[in-house]
Amino acid sequence: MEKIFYLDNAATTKVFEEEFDLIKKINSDYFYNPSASYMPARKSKKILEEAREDIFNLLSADNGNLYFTSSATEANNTVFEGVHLRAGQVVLISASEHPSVYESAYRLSKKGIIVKEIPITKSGQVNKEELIKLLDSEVAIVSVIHVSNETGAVNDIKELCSIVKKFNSKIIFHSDGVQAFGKIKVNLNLLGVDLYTISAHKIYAPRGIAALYVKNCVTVDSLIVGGGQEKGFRSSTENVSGATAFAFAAKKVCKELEDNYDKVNKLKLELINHLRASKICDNFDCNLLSEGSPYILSLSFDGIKGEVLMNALEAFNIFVSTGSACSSKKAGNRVLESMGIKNSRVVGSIRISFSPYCEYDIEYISNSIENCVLRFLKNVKK
Amino acid sequence: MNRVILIRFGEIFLKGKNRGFFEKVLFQNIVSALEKFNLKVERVSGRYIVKDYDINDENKILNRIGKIAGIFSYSSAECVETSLENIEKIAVEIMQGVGGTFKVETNRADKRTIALNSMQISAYIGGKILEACNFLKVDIKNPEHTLFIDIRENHETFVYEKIYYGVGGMPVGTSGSGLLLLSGGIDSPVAGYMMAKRGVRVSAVHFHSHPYTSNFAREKVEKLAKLLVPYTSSMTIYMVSMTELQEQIHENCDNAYMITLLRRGMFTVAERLAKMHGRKMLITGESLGQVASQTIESMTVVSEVVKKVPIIRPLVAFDKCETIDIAKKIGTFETSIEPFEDCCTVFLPDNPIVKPELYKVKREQEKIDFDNIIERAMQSVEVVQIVE
Repeated sequence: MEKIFYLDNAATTKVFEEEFDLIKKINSDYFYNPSASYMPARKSKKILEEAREDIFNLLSADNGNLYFTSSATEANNTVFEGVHLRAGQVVLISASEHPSVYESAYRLSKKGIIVKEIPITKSGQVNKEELIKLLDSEVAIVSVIHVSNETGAVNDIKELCSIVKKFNSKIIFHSDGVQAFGKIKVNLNLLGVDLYTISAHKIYAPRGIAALYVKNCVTVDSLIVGGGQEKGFRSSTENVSGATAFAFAAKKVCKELEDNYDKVNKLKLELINHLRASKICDNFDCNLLSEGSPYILSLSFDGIKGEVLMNALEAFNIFVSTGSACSSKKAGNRVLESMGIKNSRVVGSIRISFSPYCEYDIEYISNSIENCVLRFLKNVKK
Repeated sequence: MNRVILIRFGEIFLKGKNRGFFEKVLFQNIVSALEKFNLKVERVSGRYIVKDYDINDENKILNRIGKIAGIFSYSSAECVETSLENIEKIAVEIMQGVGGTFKVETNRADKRTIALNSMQISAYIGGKILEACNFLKVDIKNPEHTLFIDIRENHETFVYEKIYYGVGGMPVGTSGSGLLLLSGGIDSPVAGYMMAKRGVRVSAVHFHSHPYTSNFAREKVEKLAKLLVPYTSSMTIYMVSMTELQEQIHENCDNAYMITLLRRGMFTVAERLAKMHGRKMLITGESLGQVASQTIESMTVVSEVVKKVPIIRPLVAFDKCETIDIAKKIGTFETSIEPFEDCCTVFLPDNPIVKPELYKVKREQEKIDFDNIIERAMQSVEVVQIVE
């Protein structure tokens, strides 16, 4: 089989081999409904709770609950639909939110709730001064993505949360940690957030399971009602095998977090150095932030289309994305535009997202990018 | 009592001595279109009858029949042994399911079994229906429902209330075969449908400019072809890369001629494919004056490269809204408007030539190694079979 260089790990990741046996075993030996009362079902429930506890512990949260959902999108929707808000109150979201936060926040404006975006800096992080300016007595929720899925920019959630809580401790602080959990250190106790979203399939577990951390004393209503599972927070028969695989993957990536970080950081720097030494060194920009996540590299090229470059790289078995996979069908890129990046570079951007569990031939990847870019630069519209 | 579907043909009645051939092709087309269902199709005096099917499949079968070219109309009917009692019983049963006004129409091939004439049978059955369904009213001139009684010579009578209209036209395969230039827009699938309706066996050529066009664009074309397949019977798509041609035009020629030269390349490739695979015509979705490449001057200089097969443009005199209406009817519209770039939108010049002159076009074309580029484009052909 030809070698493939999968560089779209921010979109989804390959499930760890070990989870296949685990999933098979749970679906055959412990397939019982965890809500049932007979003994085998109690065992199934116990397995689910162990998975929950494992993940909860990895988040280093002191008090609160971790509720499983079907996806991070569902968890983020639950935040905005479930927190009690009245018309006239304000929801603050950063300008770099994932569409699942962005769209569900803006949906509230139909109910008379005011949505405001906290501007981001050129490096893609939330601008603290702008956040302070936006805080007033009507603000009810603040939601800031922990690591940007577009650029890898890491927000200082601890400081932002502290600013908000000092202003008014009743404001609910949510962070979408989908690109952070398992990749950078996450300690919810230190961060101080009320709500935190994590997802399994971004850390080598299957799709169909994610979780929302909810701090004690924060009230969030259910989005999905029915049989009252997840302590009534999220009805639906529990996905025991998904939760177990999630816990397995989470434990593994958190245990190997530092080594993984170093490995990925090295890959990212190596690629940038190769590109800098190439013939296209003057044609690209990247988010080389010391405080950015090394897992995501946003490259932009002047004068060519990111989509065309992405298509061309496929011929070299290099799979990247333009912007986030969820929004790559839409024109433009809201997040990059918010960073003040000029339009020609927004159009010319691709996202490269690494995995520490894949092998990459950085020289080959860099050369392929160089070849494609040189070919397209020749064809810039006359 | 048996449930059957009656299928009536349209224009093939007009075909005199060739009628047998047309009927046979249509019969084969019906059989193959309904192949996935467990049923029987019979040819009986001027119509086809579908029988012995699972009643749960009836809607799917009716839906499928509605896409077979050459069928004028069709109905699901109850088939009973000819007797007034049997007809009455089933007529009342059918009409109990409807409301409003009605009339009864009788047609007799067998004039002996029942000792009443057609008018008398209609009146008798109508009376019985009124007795049983007091919520119905008779309206002979403008009824909301008509109950049809069709008394056949073999002691069978068909009773039905609904007539669905089919695609019409001619059975696919009776008018030769053609190669459709399928772009992914609104027009070309409609053009393909129109020609299938005229009995043409349609296959398609799609020109892409990967990597300038995405895999989504290609999938879109495959999706459109799949939507057309019920009308066209089956479809082969030849996927051809125009990337080199576009790059070469871009690099060497006056960009205003990009579309003209590109289209000359497309038509050259299309004609070669048509000859190679025995297709007797090229089919395009062009409509006169719709865009710069569809003025009569553009059509002339582009057609100039095609020498051996006719170019059929079934939409040439259509307004866009007329085409859209058909696209909606055949179910391709929603897919056609998905926003993926096709070949022509990449490298699109700001001011394309609207009225190209042949000598100038040829002069531009000479700036590139046209023949060899076409040769390489021919080598890039990928064949995709689209099945229903």
